[in-house]
Formats: sequence, C-alpha cells, structure tokens
Amino acid sequence: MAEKETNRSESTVKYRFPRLGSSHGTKRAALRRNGRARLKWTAGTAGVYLVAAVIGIVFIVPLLWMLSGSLKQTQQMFTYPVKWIPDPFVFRNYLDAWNTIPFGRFLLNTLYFAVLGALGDLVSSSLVGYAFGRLRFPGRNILFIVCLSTVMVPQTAIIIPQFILFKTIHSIDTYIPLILPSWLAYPYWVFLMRQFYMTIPEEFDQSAKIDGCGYFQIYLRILLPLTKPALVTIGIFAVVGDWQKFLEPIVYLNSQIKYTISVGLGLFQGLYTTVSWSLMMAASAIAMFPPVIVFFIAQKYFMQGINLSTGKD
Amino acid sequence: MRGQFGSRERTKEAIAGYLFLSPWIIGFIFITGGPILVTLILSFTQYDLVSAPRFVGLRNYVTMFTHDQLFWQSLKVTALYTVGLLPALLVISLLFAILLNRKLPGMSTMRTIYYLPSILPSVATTFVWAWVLNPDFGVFNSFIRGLLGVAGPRWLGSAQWVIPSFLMMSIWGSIGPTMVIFLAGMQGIPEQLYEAARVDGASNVRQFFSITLPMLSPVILFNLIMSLIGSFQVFTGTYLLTQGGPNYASYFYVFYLYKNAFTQFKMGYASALAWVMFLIILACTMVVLRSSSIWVYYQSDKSDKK
Repeated sequence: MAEKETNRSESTVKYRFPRLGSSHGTKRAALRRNGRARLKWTAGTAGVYLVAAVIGIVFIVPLLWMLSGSLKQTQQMFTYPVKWIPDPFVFRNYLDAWNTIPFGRFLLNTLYFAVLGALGDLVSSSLVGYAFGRLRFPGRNILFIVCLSTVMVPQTAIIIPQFILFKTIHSIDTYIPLILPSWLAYPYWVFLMRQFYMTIPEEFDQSAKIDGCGYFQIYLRILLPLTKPALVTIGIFAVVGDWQKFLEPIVYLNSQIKYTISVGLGLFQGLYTTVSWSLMMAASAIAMFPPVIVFFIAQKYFMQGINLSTGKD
Repeated sequence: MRGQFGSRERTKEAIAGYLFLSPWIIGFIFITGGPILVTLILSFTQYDLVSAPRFVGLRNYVTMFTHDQLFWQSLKVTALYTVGLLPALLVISLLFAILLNRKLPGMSTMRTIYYLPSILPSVATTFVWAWVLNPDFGVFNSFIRGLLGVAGPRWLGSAQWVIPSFLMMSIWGSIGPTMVIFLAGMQGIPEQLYEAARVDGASNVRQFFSITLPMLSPVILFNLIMSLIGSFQVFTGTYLLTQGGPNYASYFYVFYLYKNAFTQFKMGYASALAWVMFLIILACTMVVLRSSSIWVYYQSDKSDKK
C-alpha cells in the first residue's frame, strides 16, 4: 500500500514536470530580459559578468591545476608557494603515463562497450517509448508508472542479484553485464523518448495507417526519423555515462586486459607510491580528453536533453 | 472511424504495444524490478556464492542493528554527508541558475563551464581532487596559507575534514545538471506573471519569492529527490582515496555494502544492507513527497496530456 502511494505521487511529479517547460512566452521573456539588460548595463550586467566569471574560474581551477601538474617535473610538484607554470614543460609525462598502463587497450575496451551499450539504449528506449507514448493497450498507465518508479532504484541496491544472474549465465569477466542492461530499456531514456513521441502530431500515424502501414512500419518509417534529435541526445548521454562508469566494471571485470578506462586509471592508485603525481595528472587528462571533446562538439544536445525531460522540444 | 474496426483493431494495437514493450518487460523482470525482490529473499539467507544459500531468518538484520558498529558508522557518515549535500547543492545551483538566467552574450559559455565537471570520468576527477587537496603541495592549502597565513586542514587525511572534502567534490561535479534543470524550469515560467507583478510595483526580491520560487517548486522537488538518491551512492572517492578512513570517517554506506558483497562475498548480509538502504531511500522520498503538498505549487491542470 505504502509503496503504491509513492509510485502514484512519483508519477505526479513526472507528469506535471513537463508542463513547466511547455508554457509559452519564452520569446517575450527573452525580449524582456534584453530590454532590462540594456537599461542596467553599467551596474547590473557588469556585476553579473564579474560574479559569473569568478565562479567559472573557481570551477576550472582543479582542471587547470591538473594540466599544470601534468606538465611538471616531479620535483617541481612539491614546492611552496605553488608554481602554476611548469618550467620546463615536460610533455614526456603524457607519453610515460600512456606507457605505464595499457591505455590504448583500455580506451578501445571502453569505446567498444560504450558504443554497443549506447546502441542498445537507443534501440530499446525508442521501441519502448513508442509503446508508452503512442499505442493504446490495457495496463499502459500502470506499467508506465512502474517503469518510472524504477528510475529511483539505485544500482547498488540491485547489483547483487544482477551479479548472481550474470554469474549463472557465465558472463562474469565479459562485457555482457555492462552492455545487456542497456538493451533492456533504461527507464530514464524510456521516459525521455516517450516525452518526445508525445510532441509528434498523431496525424502522422493516422495517415500512415490509412495507407496500410503496420505499427512497426509506422515506427520505423514515420516516427524514427522524426525522433532523431532525441536519439542523438540519448546516444551522447549514454556514451558519456558509460565512460564514467566505475562500480559495474570493477564488479564484473577481472582480467586487466578487459579493463575500461575508469578501472584502468584506478590502477594508478595502486601505484600511488611509485608513480609520481605528475604522471597521475597526465593520465587523468588523457582519460578526460574524449568526453571533453564530445561535450564541446555536442553541447547543444546536452542542453536539449534537459529540455526534453522538462517537456520542451 | 476507429469505431468501425472495433475490437479487432484494438486487439492488434494491444498486441503491438506489448511487443514493443517487451525489452522493458524482460529488463524489469531480470535487471531492475525482479532483483529488488531477489535482494529481499537473499537478505534472509547466508550465501557465499559457492555453497547454496542457507535460510537464516532475520539473523542478518538482527546482527546489523545490534552488533555491527560499522553499519551504524557507515549510516552516520552517509547521513551526515546527505544532510550537508542537499541544502548546499540545491541553494548553490539555484543561485547559479538565477545568475545565468538572462539573455546576455557569454551566459551559455558560463553554463557550459559549470556543466563540464559532471561529464568527466569520476576516477580522473577523484585523482585531480586528491592533488588539489594535497595538504602540503595542493593548490587549496597554498591559497589558505597565502591568504590567512595558517596551514590548511589535512582534508582527505583528517577525520574532521574528509566529509567536507567529499562534499566539495560532489558539489563541483553535480552542480551543472542541477542548475541546468533549474534554468529550464525558469524559462517555462509565464512572463505575464512578472509583468503583473511589476505593474503592482513588486521588487525583484519580492518577484523571486512570490513568483519564481513557487513556480519552480516542482523542479526543486524533482532535484531534491534525485540528489537524495544520488547522495547514497558515494563510492569512487572512498574506494580510490580513503578506503573509508581516516578512522572510518568516510566509511560510506555503499562502500561497506561493496566490501561485504564483493571482497568478503557475504551476499546475504550485503543484500540485507541493500534492502535497508532501499527502505531508507523510499522512506526519505515519501517524507519529501508527503511534505510536498505543503510547499510545492502546482498550476491547475487543464492540458494534462496522457
């Protein structure tokens, strides 16, 4: 009973949530802000820029400190007061870090599992999202609420049965435990896809149906191309998310040759005493490089993902 | 038009619906929903993965609550962290959202910078923070020594400062997404409300408390619940840097669960820990949701799409 109550309330949150963004007047809001900005240019805007810039700098200090450290000689790491500019610049650190652990292999492993995982996320969430957002069948709303409430189940609460399951099917120390769940519809992506399907006018399906298309045809030919923006967003989030994963890979992967980048980077922790901080910083920078590139190229899609979850298109 | 085809068409649509749903149904049974139940069953057993599970009744729970000091310690650490994290994270990201919620050039660049830490691999950022917070040669303590003339705390090496260190790391890492959700919410607030308020002569501060905050309350609720769930999941930092120390001061709940399950293979006991965590999160969420009828403002629903 108690649990049912939560589910219902939870769904209320989600159901109402989209309405926020779907309100109109964004353009006018923009106009207003422009107007106000021009009025208060001197005091207000300068203040905003100053505060925003200071916070921005605070935010990237750790990353600058990493870059600085990654280019220093070992003895230069340990000075007071700290030096920001390495002297000399030791680019060799990156090469040494690359050779300390089998970086290339770890990167390939991660790419392999992240791409197959993201592919699964796309296929499964677009199929399931189509059912929840488009088709009518008994129990749809209840099932959708169940699906949404599983978003709230933390991975750590269910990892033991999952581990036992994957052990039973002999897939420990393979990528199956890391990839398979993605093919079975991660509820949050399902939710996003459903939201997106619901923004597409029903007339598309209707006219296709009159032309004699089956449901799968409608999905594949009509709707799938229209949901491309949502799919790109989910794909990027999924790849970046897989790149970050740590708990699942250390639980499931045993042999070093199969490590993902996160777990492989973790090897440096074991080398704490023997490997210098500058190599650790260089290694961290290498590991951050791919997601940062993806992020800057695909920025727009990250923000789109948030808008999607709040109901804007 | 639909009516003429009647039930046959409807049956066809229903069958298609379940077929399209099937990946999720299988996933629910084996990956998400089913395991919750299996965890509950396992929590009443003793199971080491080698020999068959042995039913022990409530023994795991009794041991946990009466004999296990580490359980209580990990609960305390996690609770302290949660209590510190939620208000700080929500207030700071709301302030940042207010700051960036204007159409000025450069605001989206700032948003990108604030968002950046959240997409970085946690292992890498954990190492970076360990170096930033290095007591002797890190940039933080160097600032402190330069500004205040005193030696800074030992951060990750100090039982007193290890939780604040983790808080700093998490806030840095999760402020971006939280803030962007607030921003999206703010952009959905109808402009007429502000116009009316200005006609009535309401100040900016008054507008914030009377319009922005109430209109944003559903988003605050959403962020609160998501952060609450996330705050129980601290793992990477403990695993890589502190191993729960010093003196168990960063012995987070999930770390303890992990140790039981995957280094000592006490699957039954770890399952009991998992279920207790699940119940705590459920209870906290319920309290938040119950209280939300008081502080969350919903517009009347006319166009609720279903």
